[in-house]
Amino acid sequence: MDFIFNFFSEDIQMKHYLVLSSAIFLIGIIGIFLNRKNVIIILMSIELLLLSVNINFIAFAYFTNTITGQIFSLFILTIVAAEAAIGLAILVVYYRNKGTIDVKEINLLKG
Amino acid sequence: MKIDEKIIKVNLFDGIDGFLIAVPEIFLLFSILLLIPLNLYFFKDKEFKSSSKFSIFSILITLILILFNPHEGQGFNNLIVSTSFQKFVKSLILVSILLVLLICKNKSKIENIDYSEFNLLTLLSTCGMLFVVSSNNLMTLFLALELQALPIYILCTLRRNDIKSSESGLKYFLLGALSSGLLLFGISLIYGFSGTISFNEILATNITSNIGLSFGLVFMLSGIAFKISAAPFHMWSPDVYQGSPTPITLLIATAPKITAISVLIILTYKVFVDFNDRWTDLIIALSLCSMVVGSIGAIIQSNLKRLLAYSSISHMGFILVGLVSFSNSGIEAVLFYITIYLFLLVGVFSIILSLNKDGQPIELISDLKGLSNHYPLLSISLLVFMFSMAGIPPLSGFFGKWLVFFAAVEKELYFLAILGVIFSVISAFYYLKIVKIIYFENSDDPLVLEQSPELKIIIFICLTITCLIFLFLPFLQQLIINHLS
Repeated sequence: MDFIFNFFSEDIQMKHYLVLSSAIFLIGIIGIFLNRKNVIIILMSIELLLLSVNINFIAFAYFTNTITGQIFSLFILTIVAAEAAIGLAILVVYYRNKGTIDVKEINLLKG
Repeated sequence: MKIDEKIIKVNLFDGIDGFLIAVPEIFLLFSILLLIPLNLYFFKDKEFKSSSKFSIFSILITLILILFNPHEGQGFNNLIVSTSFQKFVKSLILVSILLVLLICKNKSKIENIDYSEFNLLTLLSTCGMLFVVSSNNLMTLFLALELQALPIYILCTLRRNDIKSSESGLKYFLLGALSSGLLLFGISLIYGFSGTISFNEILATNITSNIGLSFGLVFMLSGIAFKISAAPFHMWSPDVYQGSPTPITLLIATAPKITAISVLIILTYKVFVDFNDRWTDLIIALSLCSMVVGSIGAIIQSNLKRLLAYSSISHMGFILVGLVSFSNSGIEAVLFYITIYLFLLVGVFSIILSLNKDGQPIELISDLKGLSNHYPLLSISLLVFMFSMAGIPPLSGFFGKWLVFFAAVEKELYFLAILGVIFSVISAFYYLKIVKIIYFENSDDPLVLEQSPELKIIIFICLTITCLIFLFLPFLQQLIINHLS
């Protein structure tokens, strides 16, 4: 209990950022695997994964006094945008063929 | 002000060197840029054929530029590096892309992927692969891996009226994005705990045990295990292999895997050298899992491409055995294994692609029934490829496995080598099952053979390499050793 109390009462340090980014990363992974409804939600979870890494990079850049992390996070933003564009395009193609984007219905290929 | 002057000086000196190192990649990039307007305005009537010829030509020139580029070292502020190891892997990648493009040139019509975008996306992905291999920095590595992966997601969906193709593309995209998320999280932890993302500086820190770096290494390894489809990160590969058009399955099965394995070699042997006792355990686990899943999972398959996916998973397991040994003979074995595996896969896929049934490409293993009655030569070649994959002595597959297990035994990893041999025997079962179906089962409706001269030559080359490699074994080993030093 003491540890948790200290965690919330002291000034913001590196570990707080790490806990935040790991929590968001975990939410993203759980969102991908537990979601049974909609592919769009998986796409949003992937965004969460990649953006939680951005928090990590910027916090590390601040605490190690280097600028590399900030530049890396800018590159990640562009990659995330490209990935989202391609993902949505593939999803549109899939929807035209299948008529639904229900995760339960993605079962043509298995064995 | 002082710092600024220093940076400018370094840039001037590095720039020229780096430019000369990266000439092949820069040439490939410019030919891609040239291909876009050519596709739009000049290749009007025979769009696919012309763009395919253009891309084959540009890949050939890139290959020649890589082979005859005398400049080595690091360039662009140490962002990229080129040594003989990188040159070897890059030329291997370019050879595989060249073979894929030659096969696709004539088979695209029947596979319904004769869009000129196919060539453009393949070239873009190739450019990414070349940069992955020559990256000397975690940022370059990540950006290049994305450049390699994103066009391949689109290629899987290329047959856009086919629901299977789009489903496989969707699955590949979702799991690929997850894997790049894992990789990126690992990179961020490594950056945070070592303070740098440059390979040289990470190596120079000499940190041997750090919980943050270990976590980062685990995340990075799992991200790369996704790319080489090592179990337990193999879920995407059977589905994607089955759903994508066959030439694109061949593309996915060869070049990106070579790239990912070379990344694994670079990371483990050249960057995280001080962490070797940590990553060897991880890679032993990955390799055992892959051998089990690949050998057992393939037994129940009835779809030909799905079976090849499981077989590639088990081959990745064998390749990782060579990596675990952490010695020069280990890298030699791995490079030798992927070289011969590339030619085996190209041979098998070109045989599958040259057959069709009722105007449809063959899908199931049972479609191969009665092949030996109609096409004895073709069935003998398929038999040779299957025997070689199973690891039967005079053929190339045996020597790959032999070198890999030899490297493991040298490092006293006896249990891994013994388990490897056992699973190699188990996996021989399904290769021999295919041989049995070709030779001992008959069918009423015959297969139709459609081969262009290129396809015949490619099958012949792969066959020659598979059968006669034992004559050139010392020479090849010497070649790889020379490239490593």
